[in-house]
Amino acid sequence: MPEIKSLLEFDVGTTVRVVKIDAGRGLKQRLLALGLVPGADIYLLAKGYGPVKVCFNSSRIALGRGVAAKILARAVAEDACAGCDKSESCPVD
Amino acid sequence: MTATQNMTVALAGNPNAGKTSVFNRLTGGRQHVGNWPGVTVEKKEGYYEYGGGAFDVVDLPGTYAIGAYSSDEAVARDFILSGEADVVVNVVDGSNLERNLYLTTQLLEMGANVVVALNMYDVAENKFYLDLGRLSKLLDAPVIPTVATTGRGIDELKAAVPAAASERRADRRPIRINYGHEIEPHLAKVTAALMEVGGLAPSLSRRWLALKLLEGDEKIKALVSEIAGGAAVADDASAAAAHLKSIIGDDATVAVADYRYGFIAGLIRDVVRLRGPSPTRLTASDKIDKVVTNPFVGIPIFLLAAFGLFELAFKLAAPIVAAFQAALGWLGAAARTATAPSLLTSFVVDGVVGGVGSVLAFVPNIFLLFLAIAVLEDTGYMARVAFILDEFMHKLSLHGRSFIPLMLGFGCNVPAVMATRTLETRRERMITLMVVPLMSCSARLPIYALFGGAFFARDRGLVIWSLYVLGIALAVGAAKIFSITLFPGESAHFVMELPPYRMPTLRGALLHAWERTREFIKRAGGIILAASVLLWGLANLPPGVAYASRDSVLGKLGAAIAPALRPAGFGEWQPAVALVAGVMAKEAVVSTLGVLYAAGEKGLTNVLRTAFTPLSAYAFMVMSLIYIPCAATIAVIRRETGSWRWTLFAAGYTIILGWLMATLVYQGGRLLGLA
Repeated sequence: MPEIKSLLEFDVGTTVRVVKIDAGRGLKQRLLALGLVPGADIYLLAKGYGPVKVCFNSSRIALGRGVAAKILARAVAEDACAGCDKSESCPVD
Repeated sequence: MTATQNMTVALAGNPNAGKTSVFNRLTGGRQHVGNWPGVTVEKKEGYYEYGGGAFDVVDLPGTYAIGAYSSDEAVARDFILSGEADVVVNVVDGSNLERNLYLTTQLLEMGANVVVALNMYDVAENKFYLDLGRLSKLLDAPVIPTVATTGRGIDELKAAVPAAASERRADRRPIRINYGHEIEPHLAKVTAALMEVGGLAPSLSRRWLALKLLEGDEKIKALVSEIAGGAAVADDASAAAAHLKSIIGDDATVAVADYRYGFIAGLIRDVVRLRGPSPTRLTASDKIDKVVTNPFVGIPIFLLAAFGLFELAFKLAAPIVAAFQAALGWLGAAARTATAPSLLTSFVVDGVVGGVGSVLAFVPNIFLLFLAIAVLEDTGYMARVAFILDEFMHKLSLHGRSFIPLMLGFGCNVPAVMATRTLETRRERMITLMVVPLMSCSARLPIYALFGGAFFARDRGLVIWSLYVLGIALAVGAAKIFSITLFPGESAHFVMELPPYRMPTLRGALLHAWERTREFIKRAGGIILAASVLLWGLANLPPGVAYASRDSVLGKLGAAIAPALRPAGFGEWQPAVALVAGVMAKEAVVSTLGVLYAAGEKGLTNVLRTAFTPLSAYAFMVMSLIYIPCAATIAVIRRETGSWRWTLFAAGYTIILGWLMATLVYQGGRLLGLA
């Protein structure tokens, strides 16, 4: 089983699967509403000095570093999150 | 709803789903902006007629969900729970169904009477086949495809609204999502218990209430506890929630969200078929972002764009402003020749008409600034700006989005203060708002140009630049101090959607800009006019004095203040009076100086050279940069903060800081032998 790390620790271009959100209720609700539930796949688009840019649920979302640090996930075997549309049965599900 | 009353339609939906476009299409220009009572959240209302009926539209704040974790969500939820809306039009981004339907399921679970406007349908159509009939059946709500930017589907939407309202049946059961074998038993028990509680409004779905109680929603808990017999149910629910947490290992709310998305995924599988091959991972927007959000390239791009924006706004506005002033000047001259010179004539012509002229001078600039901002926002570029600047802003305990009001402040502080209402938390709004006056607005530039030109000739560019930098440096310091002392708290978490880049709709931007400008005129216009008339009064009384002479009330006021300004190097009545005039509008400082020293444009430079030294001139510029926001800005600060206390604080701290800095500069300069 790949290890669980915070979103911030993964490399750009990886797809990771959310395990848990280690945050207070307000932030948690916010992220849940956007689709960040345990089991959801996130693709890291960009990571630099500032916020992180990710793709999940077919949207591009910017997450502050503090927020990204609170999202715990593990790597998914390969880039299986093709298209993010989930309009056909996803091989990763 | 009786036959004589208008039907009320609420618009709900995700940000970036095109809700505003739908609102504009429905209401045309018949809309106005107000405030939700008790919170600084914007309330947009509008009106339209269709098929012989009249409809009031309330545009609820854009939200991803209806919880109670931000004022936006709370406002939306309270409104829907109040039952005031006959129909809720849920604007859904058809190209982003999975996330948008989250809100839809919540609305449906609440028992709201929903009509789904499947917006951006053109994009959706290109990407997949959508079985609209099936979707409608599964949601038990009408689904109308729309393309708000072109107007397609809007008529059908208008037709669907009254149809939905009349079909509303008391026994209509909202959709049921299965929340799994851990939650469902508890849910059933609490729902049953709630059905026994007599005082709850019948329109409130018991199952939804039960769900909220199990999720630990404080507001719902309070609401239920207030009713006889409700407190016991609420307490039982809390116990059940704690039990669930121990079984699931996380808040029930996480599991609920999970099941909701499961429901949505199942729904989408049933309703959507991908058209053609899967889209590639990196979209065009992503490629553009690679350049734009790169800190080395992105920031220069942004500075260039910002500079271009201001240049454009002011260059375009200048001829219009000149035309207004020429027209008013002509009007004034005509009035003067037509009547005998008298105090009354002067009052009307110089005071009132002059005051109106001051207000109108703002309007073209304000309108164009708002227009430019709206267009940039529409394209999605502003989100990228917030993204780039967030890290830096975070050090000031601000959000990346705070940069937009601050940037606007360089054009004019008034729209900048108004723009702070788009910030999410009160803390960010207040800190940003308090610091806006330190952004050197365009009205202060003539002051710098005058003194800079008179005393620093070759180096005037550098001198002026130094003032802008000083303003920014002070703003950074003030923001830091305020964030620690006055508005302590956690920085808001940065979570922001980056919508795909798209072509802005001019129509929407124009409407938005016009709406804001109208608000400016309403709020600030009156103040500027009043201040202008007041100034006229002080300058022309007691009757018979020469305009703004040493013997006028204004002159005496200046003389009284002057000693306090001596440490700063300009302790004469003329600079004092000019500064007082600057409270009405910063550009008045230059014109007032001209009047006080009885000199025209060219003569003024010479006179100033006798009245100031380079050091005292610089000190005066520093004072002009910092001291008190102009009357219009004070007016909007009062409006946005809703409190005189904070407004007075903003005025007070800037005067004190201005005086301190000017004195520091002057005395410090003297010590260094620069006098």
